[in-house]
Amino acid sequence: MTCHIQIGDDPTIWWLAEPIQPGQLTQPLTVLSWYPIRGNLVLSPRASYVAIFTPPAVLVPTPLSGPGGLYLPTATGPSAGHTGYELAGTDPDVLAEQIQALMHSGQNQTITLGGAGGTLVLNGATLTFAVTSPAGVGGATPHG
Amino acid sequence: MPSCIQIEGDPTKWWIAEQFPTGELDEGQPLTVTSLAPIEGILVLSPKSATVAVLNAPSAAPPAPLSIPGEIIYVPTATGPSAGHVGYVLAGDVDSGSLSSQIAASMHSGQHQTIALTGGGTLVLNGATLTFAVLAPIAVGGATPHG
Repeated sequence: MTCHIQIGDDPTIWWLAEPIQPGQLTQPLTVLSWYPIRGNLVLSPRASYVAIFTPPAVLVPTPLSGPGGLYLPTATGPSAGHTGYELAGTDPDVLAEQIQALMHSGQNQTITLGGAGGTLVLNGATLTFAVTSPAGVGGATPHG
Repeated sequence: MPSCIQIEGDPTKWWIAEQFPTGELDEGQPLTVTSLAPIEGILVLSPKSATVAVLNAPSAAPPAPLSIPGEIIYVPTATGPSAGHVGYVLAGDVDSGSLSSQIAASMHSGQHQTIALTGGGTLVLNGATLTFAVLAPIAVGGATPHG
């Protein structure tokens, strides 16, 4: 059984692999996201609101494919070709753990970006959620 | 005399039925006011909102409010409400009459509050970070909004 959530100002409806309960939202939480980005969704308890829905029993759509990386909240949500920042070889599972720890501590973390290069500074005190994903996602779709 | 307010992060200009009690923003308490448009309802404003712009209302009458599909709660978005997107529909068993005071209490305490939505959904509000919410129709928020 999957679960749909919508987090704060970002309009994306995320398809999660497992349902989450309101009581889990008092601590940083990492859950598997299937769509629109397949990866680890790290959710902060500081999000101003989270809507949780039970989706209809339909096939999960094919997730967006991309180079893998880090999606952070936007006003429009992810789309083909805009799935977040490309990482410089960072393991997405390790990064998800680091972001969860960051949300616990409320500290900043600097991440080196891939692609054209650059640096991303995350503020664990205010970041509401992040999604880390491996490269080349978009394969077989599990169903809800 | 109506006034208009715009609240951090959400582009909506809310028409408020009365002169907005700007001075009460400094008292650190959630405010509850009557919204005329774009949603006619009860607006609960957190004192933690980073910015609240209080604008002189145009001399014209407020625009007609958006139609709503039932008892709803609107929470901030990056685009504001629009026809067909006016917020989340509340479940039928929600104690809607006291919801605005419950949300104000949540903002005051900084605690989470869970609200049942139609279709089995759940909305979890974080009183520590939520900047505002609008409940409609008026009866959902309670009969007597106050500052």
